[in-house]
Order: sequence, then C-alpha cells, then structure tokens
Amino acid sequence: MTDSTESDSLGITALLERWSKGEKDAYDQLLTHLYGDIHAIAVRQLHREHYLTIRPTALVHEVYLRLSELRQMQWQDRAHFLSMAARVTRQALVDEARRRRAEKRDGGRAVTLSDTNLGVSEAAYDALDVDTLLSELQQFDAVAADIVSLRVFGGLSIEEAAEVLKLSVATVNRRWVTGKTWLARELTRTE
Amino acid sequence: MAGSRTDADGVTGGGDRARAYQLFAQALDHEGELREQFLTRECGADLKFRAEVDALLLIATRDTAVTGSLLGSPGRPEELAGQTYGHFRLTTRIGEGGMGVVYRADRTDGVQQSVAIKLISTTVGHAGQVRFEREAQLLAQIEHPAVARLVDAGVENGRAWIAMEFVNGLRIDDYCRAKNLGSTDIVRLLVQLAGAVAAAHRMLVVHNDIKPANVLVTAEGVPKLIDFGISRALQEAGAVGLSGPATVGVGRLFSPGFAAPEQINGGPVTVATDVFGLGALAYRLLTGRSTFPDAVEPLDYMLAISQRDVELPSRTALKAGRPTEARQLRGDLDAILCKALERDPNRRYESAVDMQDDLQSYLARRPVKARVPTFFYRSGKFVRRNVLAVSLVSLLVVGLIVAGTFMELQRHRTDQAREVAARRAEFIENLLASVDPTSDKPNVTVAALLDSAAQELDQKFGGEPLVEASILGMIANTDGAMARYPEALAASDHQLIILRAHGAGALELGRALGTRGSLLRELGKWSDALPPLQEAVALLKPLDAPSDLCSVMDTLGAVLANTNQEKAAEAIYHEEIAIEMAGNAQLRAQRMNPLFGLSVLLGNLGRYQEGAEYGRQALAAARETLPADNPTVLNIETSYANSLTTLHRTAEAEPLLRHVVAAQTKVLGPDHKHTLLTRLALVADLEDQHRDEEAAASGLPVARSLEALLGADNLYAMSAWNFYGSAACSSHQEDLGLAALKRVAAARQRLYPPGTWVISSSQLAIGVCLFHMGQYAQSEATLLAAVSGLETARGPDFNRTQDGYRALRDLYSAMGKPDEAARWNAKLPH
Repeated sequence: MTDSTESDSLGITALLERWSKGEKDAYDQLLTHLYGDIHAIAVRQLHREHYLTIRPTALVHEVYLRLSELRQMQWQDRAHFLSMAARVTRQALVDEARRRRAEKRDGGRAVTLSDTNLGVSEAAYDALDVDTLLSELQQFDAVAADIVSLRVFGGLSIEEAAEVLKLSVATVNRRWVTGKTWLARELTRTE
Repeated sequence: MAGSRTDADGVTGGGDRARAYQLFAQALDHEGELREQFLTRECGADLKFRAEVDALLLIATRDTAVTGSLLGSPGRPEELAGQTYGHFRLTTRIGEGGMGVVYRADRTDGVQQSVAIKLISTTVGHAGQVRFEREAQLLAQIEHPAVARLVDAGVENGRAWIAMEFVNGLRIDDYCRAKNLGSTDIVRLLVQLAGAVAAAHRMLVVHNDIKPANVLVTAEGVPKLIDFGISRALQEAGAVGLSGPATVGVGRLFSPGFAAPEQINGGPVTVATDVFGLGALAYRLLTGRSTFPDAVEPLDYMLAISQRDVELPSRTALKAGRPTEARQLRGDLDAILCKALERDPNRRYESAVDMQDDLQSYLARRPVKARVPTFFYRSGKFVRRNVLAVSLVSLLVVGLIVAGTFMELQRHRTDQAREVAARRAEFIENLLASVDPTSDKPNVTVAALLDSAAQELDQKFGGEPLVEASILGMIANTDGAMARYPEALAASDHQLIILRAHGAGALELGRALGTRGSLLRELGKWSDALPPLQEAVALLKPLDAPSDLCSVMDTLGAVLANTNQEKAAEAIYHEEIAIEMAGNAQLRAQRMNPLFGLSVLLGNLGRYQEGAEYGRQALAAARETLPADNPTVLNIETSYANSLTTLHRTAEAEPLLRHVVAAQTKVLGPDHKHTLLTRLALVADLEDQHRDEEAAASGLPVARSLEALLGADNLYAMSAWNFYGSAACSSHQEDLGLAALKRVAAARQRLYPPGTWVISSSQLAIGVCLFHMGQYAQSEATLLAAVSGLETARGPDFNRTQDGYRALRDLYSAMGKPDEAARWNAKLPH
C-alpha cells in the first residue's frame, strides 16, 4: 500500500463489518487496532493540554471521528463501539499513568481524568487509581463496575450503557449511582 | 494519596468494604425512618462501620439533591429553599441546568438584593476550592450591561455555589418569537451580546457555552449573558491553551447546535470559540434553525461539525419557510455568520469586537469586512490549484453570456436597466483585467475575485432580479467548472427561484435548468437531474438556440444512459448530432460531446467496436477545434483509451492513458475530477493486464480521492472502489478487497433499481474474491446468482456475463468438478 493510514482505516472497516456479523476474533483485532490509535491520541492530547488532564470522552470522540466510516452505524452499533472504545481507553490511560508514575515525568504529576463527573475534585487521582478501584468493585458488584467504566472511560449515556449491558435503564441508573458513589468515596478517602 | 486507598485497613478493608457497599446499596431502597431502622438493624453497635455506610449515603443523596434526580431518572428533587449560602437565603427554585439547580435568593443581612444562586452538582476539594474562588473573583470583575453580574461565590460543605444578578427575563429565542422580532432587531441584540462577550474577553474569560439557554432578555429588551460558570480564565495573558468544561456531565461536554469544532475535538478553547458561539446563536435566531438541524444527537452533531460547513443562513431560512428573512440574510448577514462559523478558528473573526463591528456596519449599511473572500474559501478543499486555465475559459464563456444579456437589456428595457447592464459589463472587464496569470495561486484569485465581485453585484442589483439571476447562473457555471459543487448548486437554486418568481423567458429558464441538471449529473445524482433537463429541452426546442439546446441534450443523454434508458439516450445523441451537423463550424465542433457520449454508452451496452469507433470520431472532432492538451480533449482521449482497454487493446491504451494522466496532473492537479477519472481508467487497464498489485496500489488513492471529492455514493467513487477491491483480492489482500467490494455492493443495491447490471457485477466481483479466498461454497452461490442476474440484465454476450462464466469455470475446476467446469466453458466464445 502506498499510504499506511489508508490501509489501516480500511482494515478497521473490514473488521467492523466482520465484528458486526458476530466474528469473535474480529473484536480482539479491533481492540488491538484501536489501542494504538487511542494511546497515540491520549499522548498527543496530554502534550496539547495545559493541565496534565485527559478527558476520556474527548479521546473517544476523536477516535470516533477518525473512523468516519462509522457515520453509517446504527444507534446500537454506536453504543457497542463506544463500549469497546471505553475498554481500550481505560487500558491506554492506565498504561500511560503507569508509565508516568514510573518515569516521574513532569515533576511526577499524574495524568488525571477531568470529565468523570464523580463529584470529586479532579486533581486527586489518575486513571490507575480509578482502574485499581474498579477492579476491586468488580469483585463485589461487577455490574456497577462495568457501568462506571463505560461511563467514565467511554462517555456512554445511561441509555447506551443499558443497551450494551442488556439491562434496564432503571437498573443501570441505580447501579451507576451506587458504583460511582463508592468510587467517589474511595477516591476522597484521606485516612 | 493513591497508595493509601487500596491498603486501607480496619473497617474499610477487604470484605467489610464490600459489605458496607452492599448495605449502602440496600439502604438506598429505603427512605426516611425505614432507612434509619434498616441501618440500625444491620450495623448494630459498630459505629465505625455505620459511619462508613453513612458517608456513602451522604455522597449519594447530596448528588441527588443537587441534580434533582438520580442522574436522569425522574425523581423528586430535595427542596433546598430556606438554606443559606454566604449572605443569601434560598427562596424559590427557578430552574435546573446541566451543572445544577438554580434558586432565587435574598440577602440575609438586610440589604435589598435579589440574586440567582446556582448550586453546582460537583463537589470541590480544597485545591479546587482555591482555584474556584480565584476564578470567581475574576468573573465578578466582568461588568457589562449585557452580562448578568457575578455577585458572590463560595464553597459550602464541598458544594460550590455562584450568586448572580437576578435577571427577570425570557430566554432569547422565546423572547424573539414572542415579540416577533425582525432581523434588524435581532442583530441589535446580537451587537450588545458581542460587546458583552468582548468585555469578558478583556478580562481573559471565555464563556465557552453561548447558546439561547444562556441568554435572557429583560422586559426592557436588554439581553443578559448568564452562566459564566463553566468558562475559565485564560491561563496567562496571550496564552491560548485551555481545557474544556470540567464537568457538565459524562459524554455531554458540549451543546449540539452551538459548540465549536475545537470544543469537540479537544482543541484549545479561545476567544474564537465564543465567536463561533455568537455565530451559532445568531444563526439560530435569524434562520429559525440550528446550525445542523438534522444533527440533534451529540455524536451526530460532532460528525456534522467536523465534516461539513454550515449551510448558508439565507438558504436555511428559505427552507424553514422564511422567505423574508432569507432575503434579509442574503449578502452581508450570510457573510458575517459564515465568517463567525468557520470551522477553522483562525479564519473566524479575530475577536468578538471585530464581529460586533461588522454587525454594526450591517445596521449602518456600511460595507462589512466579512464580505472579503474568507467566506468563499469555505470549501477550499474543492478549489484545486492550477485551475486557472479552466476558470479563465469559463469566465470568458460566462462573460459572453453576460454580454448577451446585456444586449437584450439594451434592446428591451429602460435606461435604468441599460445602466445596470453597463455597470455589470464594466465589472466583468475589471474582473478579467485584475487576474494575474503569473500569481502562484491563480485559482484562488479567480474564485475570490469572482465571488466577492458577484456578491457586490448581488447587493447592488438586488432590485434587478433578471440581472441577479444571470449573475447567479454565472457563479453556478464557474463554481461547477471548479468542482465547487455545493456553492454551484446553491447559486443555481437561488437563480431558479428568482427566475420562476419573476416569470423569466424560456431561454433563461431553459439555460438555468440545464445548468442545474448538469451540476446534478456531475454529482452523480442522476434521477434528480432528469426532470430539470427534460424541462429544459422542452423549453429550448421551440426556440432558435441550437447551441444551448445541444448542450442540454448532451447532458440529458448522459443522464438517460445512467438511469437504464439507454435506447432513449442513444436516440437523443443521434438527434443532437444531426442538429449540430446542420449548424455552423462552432456548432459542428460540439458534436464531440454526443459522439463521446455514444462511445461510452455503446461500450456499456457491450457494443465495444462501435463504441471505440465513436470514441475515435469524438477525439478527432475535439482536436479540430481545441488544443491537444485542452482538458476536454484529454477527457475524450481517456475515454477512447478506455474503450481500447475494454477491447483488450490494452497495449495501445496504457501509454495513451499515462500521457493523459501526466498532462492532466500538470494542468488540473492530481486530484481534479478529470485527472482522477483517468487514473481510474489506468487502474482498469492495469487490471485487465492482470497487473493486480500495481492496480491495487494505484487504485486505493484514486478511490479515496474520488470519494472525498464526489461522495461515497458517487458512480465513479464506487467504480474505483470496485476496481481496487477486485485488484486487492487478486493480489493477496483479500480482506481489504472484499470489504471494499461489499461496501460498493451495498451502496449499489441501495442506489440502483433492482435488476440493474452493476448490482450483479458487484456480486460477481465478490464471488471471484471469495474464490481467491478459498471459500468455494460461498463463492459458488454468489457467482451463480451474479451470472443469472447479468444474463437477465444484459444477455450472455455481455463482457461481465462472460467474466462470470469464466469465474464459474475456474471455480468448478478448482472444486474438482470437471463436468460443471466444461459446461460453463462451453458458454464462452472460442
């Protein structure tokens, strides 16, 4: 191919098509494809922003835009795409946070999440904190952990999360409140 | 901080944390007394544990109270009236926004002052509190009659609040509707708002969320911007980097219809963002519709704003059924709004003050700055470099048309009309005189000159509908020649509306309809093109205007040929040739067009020998009158080469095509439509020579560019993807190839009537690809269906049908079914 981005983009189209037909391996390949994209965008956004702050939603949106083929997608597909992007974004941000902690770059300041709407001051935690806590929550309320992850890292609405998880909107709403409350509590714990 | 959480011990460690969580979740299902009883029962005497559950409940209920609901679920908000914040006591709840609830409040210290207090739903930590209070101080300094002043702000129990001057008024859109305000009055309001935004900018504060919900208008008619809550101070004087609103809700970081592209793609938020916001607000108020009315969902808006420009406000107003507003918007306001709504922040007004100036100039009927070219550069991607030759030619042609109208006017109309026409002729002269052929950006110069000058005329001659219409026709033609189709269609639309409204003559109307048809044809909107073209032919036939008639017939032939009416197309072409051969030298030269059309048509019908012969004649006719490297000649040469390819005379065709590609690249640029079509022909030629890898490599950029230029549903773009797909399949890139082929197949199924041969042709390509991938069973089914479709549509002798026979023969050989293979082989000519 003469142009690598063209072939990449085309590859993703093909993968999306296969995934939509229920081919499992296509999903994993998509994740791999997207990981590179999202990680690169995250790093670039970090360079661009004055604060060491990442807005996962903006990140996912940018990926979404780049995959302009998705404009034909139906609403359900869109929700599923966002759920996938949430998974990848979480991984990419956790890796980046880990790397920054290790390198103590920028005076050791962590990568924080700014649009998580957890009712918690944003500067206090980074993606790795959230990830660790969500893994813990996973053990006693897996559904709530999934919902929080989808919303925090993928920007899914309550309705979209309900669609992806095949749960009622009321359930998702309830578990989102309990999950995010717990997360907020743990993130602000000072003792 | 991070480390202390996960290894916290005691009551909150391990299983107890899980239990606290579960109790908390269950407690939420109980209310009031019942909750208390439940907790007492479950926690017993373990006060530390109980405190943990209470902490969780506190966080959860606090959020509920502030947002009025459990994040979207209907529920009764906690009544906060009576609570005090700073010097204020909440009295009545007056609203709810993305950030929290709003209460009216009075001072507790006896001073008479009524304020609106907004309680922010996010808690603020200590560091955040400091930053918040510092920002509030800054915000409190913004003083402008059109800004609701920030009175006080603080943080109480971790909850931030903002007290603003209480504004007793209506949302600006409701206000404009209630008062039935006209454009001028709306612009007056906008001038005040732009001034308010400018005042905030001088304090280094960006509003960042300008929309109707954030502008109130008082009974006295004073607009007030509210809610600087999410704006942030610019980092330092002159610094541009700002992160967006911290918390407006997950996934709802922007207001569809009003957010600027940079708010969506994470770019820096600057004063230009507010200029966009003002533009979007103006758009909404003046046209009655949002910038992208069809994109209500955040994600749709996001795609819309990053991929297209807003429609001209005057056109939107027209569509919204507001012809009066449309007339008022046309010209200055169109230009002002489009400049404010440029997707690239650098092309907007540099400041809110500049925008305010222009709005004031509009009110004072002074020239506005936005009228200088920027607006017309909007679709810069369509403007290719080096199209000077093309645009100059079309300018001259247009000049002739205009001069023609001038003559008519002189004959039939008043002194005033003569003067108008004379001034217009002068304009054309000046325009041509000012084109500097040695400039490095000749096309931009031509486009800008033409557009801005025409705009000026629009303003000057608005009272002369026929003059205005003819200029619009000129713009449509020129924009069309420069592949600026959206602009061209807009102008053509506008022209037709005027002509029909003023009962224009058959000639003008016929020409205008012809232009419209040919633009639609260029865009591949075949069935839309048919009605205007047929109407045009009917109008022009009785007149003595053979040149106009022939050019419309020519387009009509092409459209018929592409809508399954090949017989009618062939007849039209022959009729046209007859008219042309009976005319003068100039008219005779036009026969290259129908000859060209016939060669393409007959080629598609499988009459390749005839097709190639007409191609040869068309080329000869073109060379009679035009220089060898003229774009039209090159185009015909391409087509001739194409038919040679089809006849498998690929050796003759390839050098011809390469020569044309080189010439077109030089004259038109590599991504001009004509160049791309030749490059596409070369791809086909390579594929016919079984040089699949080369074909795939050169096919991909061509397909991409054609799609970008003409849209995914365009005939040529689909054809390019198809060639690319087949070539990729045959050169070990089956995945990529198959994906492209399937996309085309799906699009064709959607776009063409069932039974059209291209649908089966796509299917055939997919079947062949599956064969290459070794998926024999699937391939067999697909190929059989495709061949049957092709036989029905085009008969057994059609080249694609025969390709199908060949594919089935190969498939059955590979499957070890020699009898079947022989059966299909027998259908092929020997």
